[in-house]
Amino acid sequence: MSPGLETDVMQIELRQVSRRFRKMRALDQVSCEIAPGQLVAVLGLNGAGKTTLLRCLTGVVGPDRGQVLFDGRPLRRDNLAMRRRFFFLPDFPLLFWDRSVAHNLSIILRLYEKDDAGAPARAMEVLRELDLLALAGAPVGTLSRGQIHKTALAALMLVDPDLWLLDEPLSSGMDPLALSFFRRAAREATARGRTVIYSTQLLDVAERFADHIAVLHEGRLCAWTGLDALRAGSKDPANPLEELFRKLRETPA
Amino acid sequence: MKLHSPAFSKALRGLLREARRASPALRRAMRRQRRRRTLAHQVPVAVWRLFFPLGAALLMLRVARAGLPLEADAAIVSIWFLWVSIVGSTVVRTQAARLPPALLNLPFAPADFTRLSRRRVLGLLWRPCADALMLFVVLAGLQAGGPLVWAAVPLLAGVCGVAVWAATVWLARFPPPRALQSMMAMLPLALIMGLQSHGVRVWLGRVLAEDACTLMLLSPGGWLAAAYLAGLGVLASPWILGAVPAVVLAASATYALATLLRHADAERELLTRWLGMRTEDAGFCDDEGESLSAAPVPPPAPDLAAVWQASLVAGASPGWIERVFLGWLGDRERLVLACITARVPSWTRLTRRSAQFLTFGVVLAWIGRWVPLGWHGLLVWVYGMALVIGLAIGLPLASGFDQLTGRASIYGLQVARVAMYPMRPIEFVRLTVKAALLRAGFMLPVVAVAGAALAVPWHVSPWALALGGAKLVFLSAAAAPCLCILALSAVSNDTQARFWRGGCLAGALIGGVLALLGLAAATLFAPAAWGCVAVVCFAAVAWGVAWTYVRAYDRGVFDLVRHAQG
Repeated sequence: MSPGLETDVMQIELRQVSRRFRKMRALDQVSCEIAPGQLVAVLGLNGAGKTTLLRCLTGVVGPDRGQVLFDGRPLRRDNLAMRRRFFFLPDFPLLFWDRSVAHNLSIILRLYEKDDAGAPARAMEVLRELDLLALAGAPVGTLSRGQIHKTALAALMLVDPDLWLLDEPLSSGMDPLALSFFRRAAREATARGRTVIYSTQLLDVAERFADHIAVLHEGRLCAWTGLDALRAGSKDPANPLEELFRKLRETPA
Repeated sequence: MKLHSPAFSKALRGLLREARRASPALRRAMRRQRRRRTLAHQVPVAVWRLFFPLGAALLMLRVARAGLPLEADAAIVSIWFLWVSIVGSTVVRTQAARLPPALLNLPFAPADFTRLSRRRVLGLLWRPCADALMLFVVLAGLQAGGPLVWAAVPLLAGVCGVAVWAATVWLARFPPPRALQSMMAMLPLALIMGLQSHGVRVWLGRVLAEDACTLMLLSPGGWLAAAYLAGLGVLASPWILGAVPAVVLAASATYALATLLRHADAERELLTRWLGMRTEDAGFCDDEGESLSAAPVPPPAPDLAAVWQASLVAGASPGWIERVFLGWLGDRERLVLACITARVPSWTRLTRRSAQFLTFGVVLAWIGRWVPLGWHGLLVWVYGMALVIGLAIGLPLASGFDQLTGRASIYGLQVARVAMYPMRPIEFVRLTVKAALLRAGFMLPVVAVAGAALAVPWHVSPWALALGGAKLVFLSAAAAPCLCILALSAVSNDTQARFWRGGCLAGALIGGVLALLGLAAATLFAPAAWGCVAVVCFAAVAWGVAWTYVRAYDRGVFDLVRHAQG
């Protein structure tokens, strides 16, 4: 653990995690260890198993085989203390549509037991950064897709869990300012020892905005490496991910 | 009009077939990706729809077996098509006005919308035709006539179907009062429940026998049935003129459809314009440059601290049951409550309304002692329905936590909100049980008093009826854990759980629900001592079902994401 990290950090381990949906192999014996303070980009072609991996990490989907371990203990849905240590921001956030943005934040912070005295001031700051202040009183159901995503992102940032899980946050309809704020906040979070795992299809973004890359192909973890190592082993160091994906497509299933 | 290009679809299918044949890898991949179709997809809608008029046909056979004249059967045909016209008009209206959202983003001309609507409304024409064919076949069979009797059936069914369809389209354009629509929608249920009572059966039989000619005038189906019977010599010959308005109505079908579509077009234009304005007003803009250059919105300074301190669950003016309920909850329970409802349901109002219905039913039952015997069946029907409605809205059969089953649908998948946040299903079960116990506590005296008051007109012991009412209240409260679990089950993927555990869970749930039904019957109908044992077993099984489900949920036996259509 690097110096300066908070003590409240989480070690994540996937041990031979497999999941099938009928005949389709969504995850196939995925194993890896994720140290605290890492920014991980999960990449893969459509249907490679990125979302299933994130769902397995949150318990929304259970693995057929293998285990997801947080600090060496398997994830259980009834362990609320463990569940409060991560926050999953799915492709389409699940909020309370008929409540206002502020009310949503209030409920979520209380569920995560993060509604301390300083929470409103922090919320004001995040809402201002995400340009949501004017919409704080508006019901979430009346917002656009990007604004809904920003609301959920605000909740994630305010909860500031040990593990941030985001499904395609960079293609979520959020505006450039919100995306840049997210990237900044994610970097700061990893500096505090939080782990950020996000899925994306944008290779150039992943090359710049990740410490570690996980590449899934037909459910298998084909690459789990740091960017420097990936570049070092690539014929085209400027575009190592593109080269990797081309190779994957050419490889028979 | 077809939304797709048949030529393109056919060519593409051919090319895909060739590609699959040429590449074993692609063949394997396609097999892997093949999606299973549900039963609803496999069986065409038409097959399901054909079951609908079977009820009316069976009723006709029963009426004939009871020795009532053929006019009574024609009256049933008439009532059936009245129901079809009024209830079907809502479907027709929806089909005519619906704007497929996907088409809004595509280059689709307004005229094409009209053509699409016309095709959809015309697509409903077969339904009354099929109904008419079935009912006229029954009518002809009851008459047991020669080939001529049967030969007229297809022609009559065709005219009847078109006439009823035209009536439906007219009603879609000029809808009847909402109260009438609601009453008609409730009619089958009321009929099924009413037929359980001997008094109602006798009354209905009398009405069908004596007022059949009036009832036949209610719908085009009745006019044609009357004309058919007149043609067969069952009714007087002037009744044959009943075919004339039916034919005129059938002839007006094209005009009716044109009128409806014109109206739908106007409404749709308004809707499109409204949607456009709404989008502009909200300032939704995908243009990033424009977003960046837009002037910053001045913050209206929302009072976040006030939101934080305020109660999470709002209530316009909570009644006393709601106040007692909120007072009973701890902090965590209030928080969980906020996640499943924006405001506490108005249980006080429901209890009051239930008491009013029960009082109305009891008063009618008492009045029944002085009502002439011929009208007694109708009275039993009305007060029976009042008692049933009173019990249905007062007993804690539904929690009223509208967002308990909240979910989001995205790309054909549904994810329960419960899955996303650190909450446990047992917390919902506890809340539901608390609410049910409280409501049951308030309903108990109401139901017991109503039961005791019914004792005199029903000539039974007041104690027995009061006890029966109390048992009903207890059963409804004791079922709460199981009902809560069934609601949660609707937003999980428990029916497709992995491995053998899924089968075990489904078996346990189905077995539990069946056991509950059996025990409920035992509670109500067994002698007092066994009834008490059954009550205790009922509560135990309901908790057992909930406990099993919660345990499976906590251990991740099933997924919390499911296919939207499965």
